[in-house]
Amino acid sequence: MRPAENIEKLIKALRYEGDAETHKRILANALQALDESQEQKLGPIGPERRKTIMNSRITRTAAAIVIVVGVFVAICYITRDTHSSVAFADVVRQMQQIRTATWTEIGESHPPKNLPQGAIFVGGSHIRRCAYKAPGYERQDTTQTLVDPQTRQPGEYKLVHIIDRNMGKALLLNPRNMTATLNSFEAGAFQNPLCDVFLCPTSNVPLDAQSLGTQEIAGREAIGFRLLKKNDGTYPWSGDITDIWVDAKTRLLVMLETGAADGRWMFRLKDFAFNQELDDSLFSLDPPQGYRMLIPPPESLSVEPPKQD
Amino acid sequence: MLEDRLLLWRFKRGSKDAFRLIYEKYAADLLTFAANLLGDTNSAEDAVQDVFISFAKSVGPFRLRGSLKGYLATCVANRARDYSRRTKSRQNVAANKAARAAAHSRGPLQSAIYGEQLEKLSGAMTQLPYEQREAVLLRLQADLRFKQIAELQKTSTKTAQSRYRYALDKLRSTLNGEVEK
Repeated sequence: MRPAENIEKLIKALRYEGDAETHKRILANALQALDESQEQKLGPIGPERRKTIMNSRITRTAAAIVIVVGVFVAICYITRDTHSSVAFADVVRQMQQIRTATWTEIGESHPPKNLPQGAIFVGGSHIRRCAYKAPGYERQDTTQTLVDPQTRQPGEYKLVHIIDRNMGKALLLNPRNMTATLNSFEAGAFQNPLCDVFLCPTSNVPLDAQSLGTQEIAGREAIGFRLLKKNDGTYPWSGDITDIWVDAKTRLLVMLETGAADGRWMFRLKDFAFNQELDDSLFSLDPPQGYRMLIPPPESLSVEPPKQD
Repeated sequence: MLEDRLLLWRFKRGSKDAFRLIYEKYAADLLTFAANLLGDTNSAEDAVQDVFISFAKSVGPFRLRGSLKGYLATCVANRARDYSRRTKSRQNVAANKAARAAAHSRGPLQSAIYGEQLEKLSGAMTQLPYEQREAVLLRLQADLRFKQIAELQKTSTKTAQSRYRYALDKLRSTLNGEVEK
């Protein structure tokens, strides 16, 4: 008896992929349908049609009743306590009160369309496990896939950042060569890093947001908001479009997606857990055993000048 | 998976490039799947086109639950059933085209032997009952799990597995010694 795998392999090899013309035609038709669909969504009712409908006295009366009822329903809807009326400021308030948080950040970046000839794009993806403990302790365990500019081969790099904003110190651990670097920065004003996304960097007040309604995310009912980017400034790290989904009950983050409008990069933050006990050792600035301490590069010492002997 | 979600995310925000990338990523596989399922390249092209047009129109409310390829393949399978009822008579032409295309992708020395096997196989495929052919192609060319195939065929997982197994047995006996060990 012949083994089944051979037949399975043959079936997999049975390909008909069509020629370039076929694909060009199908894609063009699909794109045309897409254009038409978008135009239909945006297209207003033509004046002739409206005039015909509104000629009748009955339809005018019916339209008036519909408008009055609609206004009444809208007023009731806005004034009742529903998810859609949840103010974004309320979400920010809840987020500012958290003691600890852990989450996963997934990032992707793609080369720009107009990359000059011969230029090398160092992009890739990363998965970052993040932890925050009030006040001002952060840890990020990053696995980054990058294209090596020399060999152009993708490689995986692991890095650990431990940040103490109280002391203005950041420890960088490189497990690949077992080295540690302790950098300094300006200590002082700090907040939960997740709130950086929500607050205007200059005035520190919650940004404007529009409701995205509700949907189920990770098995929970979530309320969505889209942050409206201000023309006068930029967020500390978020993109052109930032969608935030919070738990309908706790008002705490469930998912956050942010990215460039042209789709060149995006971050997704998920798997959030709040107010759980996190061991202090996670945020220790002492390098683990076996790590060799390196002297940080001069630019990272600019805030705290080196001591004179 | 993440790449698909990223593409969908971009497409939902109006990126035509993202739609093009989705098309370029999956169109060839879907066309192969449809051609083998229907045994007719014209109907296969129409089915794939219909699916991408519907997909373009429905992406607003669309939410991906499994893999994007699985979703699109399921759409093609559904569409193919409609075409299958209309175009039963034109099957062998496309199946043989698919076999020849696969054979030519090999070296010249092997392609004659290999092409013969594939032509026999594609001929044998058209002789299978539609549900069995669909189960085999959904599993091997669209990478769907038996549970997903069962959902599509509105039957139990065991029946989907049996259809797959019966189909392979029939193909094996039809080829009868033509498949290399």
